Amino acid sequence: MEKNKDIISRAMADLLEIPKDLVLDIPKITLIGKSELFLENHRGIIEYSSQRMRINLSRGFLEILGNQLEIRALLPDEIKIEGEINSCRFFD
Amino acid sequence: MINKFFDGLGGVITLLVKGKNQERIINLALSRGIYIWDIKWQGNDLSLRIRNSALQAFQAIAAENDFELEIAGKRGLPFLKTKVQRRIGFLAGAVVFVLTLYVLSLFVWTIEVEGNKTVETKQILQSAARNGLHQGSGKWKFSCSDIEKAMLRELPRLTYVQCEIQGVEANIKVVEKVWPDEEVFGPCHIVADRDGVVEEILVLEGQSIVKPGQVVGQGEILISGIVYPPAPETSDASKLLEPEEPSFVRARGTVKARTWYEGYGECPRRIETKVLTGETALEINLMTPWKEVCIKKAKLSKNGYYKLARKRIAANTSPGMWGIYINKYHEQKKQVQSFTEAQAIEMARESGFNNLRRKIRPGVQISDSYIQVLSSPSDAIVRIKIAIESIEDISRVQAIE
Repeated sequence: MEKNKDIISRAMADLLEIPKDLVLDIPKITLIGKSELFLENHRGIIEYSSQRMRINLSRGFLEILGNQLEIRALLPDEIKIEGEINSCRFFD
Repeated sequence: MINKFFDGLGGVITLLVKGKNQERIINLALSRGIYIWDIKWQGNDLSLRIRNSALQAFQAIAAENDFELEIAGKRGLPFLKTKVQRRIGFLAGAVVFVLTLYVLSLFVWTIEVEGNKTVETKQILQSAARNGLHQGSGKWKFSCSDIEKAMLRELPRLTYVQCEIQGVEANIKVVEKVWPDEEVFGPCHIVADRDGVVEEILVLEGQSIVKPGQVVGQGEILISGIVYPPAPETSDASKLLEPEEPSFVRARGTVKARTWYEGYGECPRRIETKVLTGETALEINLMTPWKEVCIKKAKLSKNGYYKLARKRIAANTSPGMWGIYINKYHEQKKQVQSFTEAQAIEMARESGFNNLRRKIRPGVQISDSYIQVLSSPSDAIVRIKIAIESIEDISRVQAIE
């Protein structure tokens, strides 16, 4: 049921040329070099240490690995992370 | 930037969260709409920043979930009050400083005078002071335009006065009147300005009275402005003709004459001079309307010679003079110099010439000079009489009365 809704929403977004992150509630990541990361549409922090960060998403979570990771700003929908970012991985 | 400004207005608190799984408190705060930023680990504690207004809500969350909170820092306007209360003396000092600066800026402390050549600065300052502008006078007590008008009335040799106040300094700019040269209009004679022997005479208008080689005295008419017409020629010697009326003209011409000047010069055979050694001693005195206090005393030897250079920074206020005197003593030593007779005569001659040059008008051509030694060789001072001979224009205009 959830999957069908997702397919319809994706088709509507394609048809109306609306950004998918608005319609589908999927995360939008902006990475500036390897020092700054903006993440929109998150669902809270699962784990946070200076080397590893796991951020909850609407589906699955995002794992960020790096050094001296800091949460520079935290808002209900947005998060800004600074530090030396080595990798970003999605987990369902 | 604007966020930082509003954060500063409301106040920002840096907290250290102690406990286990501190990520939980972040999510809980987020769900309650508490804005958190600068989240980082400090050892085992989680450091974060929140707004002052969110502190109570955050403390409630921490208490509900067994987290311990420690306030690591406070920044912003609300916390400034406690800082100010702690440093009340500093604040009072700052206020007193600003007030003093403001009060002192209401007075005139220095007065500059510009543009005067013949009128003395002292005279201008005295006139300004009589009208209310002096060192230490309050700016509200006088009006610049009134002072300008009064000064123009008091000092007739001034044609323009501008008074300007810039900060604590008053600038008085003046323009002096330029008087026309005293000229003689109408008929006039040319008379001798000084005694001499006429060498050369050139008459452009008028009638020459003197001839080359003639000795003339000061004030004697050289070229007359009263011209008598030539006597009419007649064959009959017995027939007397009535003399015609003389005409009055403005005599013009130059009369060059040989003139003499006498002067005197002297030079001691032995001169004691004081030479600066380069050593200096400083003395500072504080002057109050009631007493003069020595801040630093100069170390001077009893038998030494010193040249004093005095610098004064003072202001005249209503109770009296306030200021600082700086006395700089330059050490001197005696130096004795002896001259031979020939050297002393030469120096006396130079001194005599220098004295004479003040008497001689500029542009006078010196044709000869004579020296007569008045002193005997055994005298301690060599005295000489110096005379110079010159050729100069001695003509001067004198109106016919």
